[in-house]
Amino acid sequence: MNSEGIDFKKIAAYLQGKLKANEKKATEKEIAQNPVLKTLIEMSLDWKSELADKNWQQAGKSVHALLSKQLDEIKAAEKNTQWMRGITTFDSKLLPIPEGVRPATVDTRRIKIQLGNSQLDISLYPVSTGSYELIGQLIDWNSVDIHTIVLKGSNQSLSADTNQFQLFQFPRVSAGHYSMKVKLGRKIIAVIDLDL
Amino acid sequence: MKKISKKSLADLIEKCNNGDEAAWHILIDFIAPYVFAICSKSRMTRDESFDIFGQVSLQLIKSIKRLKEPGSLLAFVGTITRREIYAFFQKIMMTDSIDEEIVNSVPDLYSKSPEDDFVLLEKREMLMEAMLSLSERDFLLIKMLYFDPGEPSYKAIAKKLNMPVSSIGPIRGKILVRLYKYLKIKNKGK
Repeated sequence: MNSEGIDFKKIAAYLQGKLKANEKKATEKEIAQNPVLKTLIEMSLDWKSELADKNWQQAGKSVHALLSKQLDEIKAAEKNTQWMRGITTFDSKLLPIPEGVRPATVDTRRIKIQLGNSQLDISLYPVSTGSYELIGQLIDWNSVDIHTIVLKGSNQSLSADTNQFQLFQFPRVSAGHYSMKVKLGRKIIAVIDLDL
Repeated sequence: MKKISKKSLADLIEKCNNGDEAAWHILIDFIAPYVFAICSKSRMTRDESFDIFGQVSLQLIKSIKRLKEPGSLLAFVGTITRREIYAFFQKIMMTDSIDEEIVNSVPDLYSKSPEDDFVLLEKREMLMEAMLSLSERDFLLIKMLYFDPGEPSYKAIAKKLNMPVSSIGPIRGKILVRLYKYLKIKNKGK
């Protein structure tokens, strides 16, 4: 017990839901009379219930997967300063499929990649088993010039030009690992690693 | 077995600063619910919240070198989260124009008022601040005892923190006293 007469051993047991009914009632009465203790307990329980929520537990896994990806990409970016390196800030593939939703309704994949102060938004639409239509756009891009987007994988090498809105499209791309290059003439502006 | 530091949480930030991936995962476990709580209070969907989180985590990774005091971590994360949410809504306003009539016809699914949400978030911030003032070992202990949905056993906690099972109870009590004292001082300052 502390100088204010608070039994923190009991409070700890209360937080873990380990008190008997009569002890629990008495502790709740004690908590209600102390606003600071009330904040400590209420917020802890509120936080705990939020973390115990199934949605958060699933999101938690996604958060760690995204963090690992970002740390890897930042490491790669630090190794090469000749051009910008893409860093993923959103990938719908990392998110769990919401319960009660048929996979067919969520098979479109969206990826957001940070490129310096600009962003690359990518949408992938399945066109057959193992191949996608890829539509991308460079957002807040500081140039109106037409750029060339080169997509190089182990089995496929494709290229497309951006339009005046910095939009580009690849009608059919096979699943696999790709290195995407944003080029202006022969000059490489940015490199993005993509797993499709 | 990996030794858990008894020094301040500043050590954890220092480890992140040095590129320790495991330290980053500990830190993000703490930060992410805070980011998602702010997003949730801003009525954002799960995907939108995840989008905001990605921006916040990237900025945190890039800026952690500039964080000298662990106490400024929450303020930093809170500020960039709100800034990203603001930018997100600005973009929506630029592309979508929603008729006020439609907005008014959408039922409010949230029982709490924005004021209640604000008070709740403020209290939550206070508790997180108090937790950030703990040593890394104490922080991890309290996190595993009360905020780990997997509810690890005392034996598992002791193993992870490299401490005897018998010392968990007394240390836990001391930590709660410390958190209580921290909140009391904060409450007086208001």
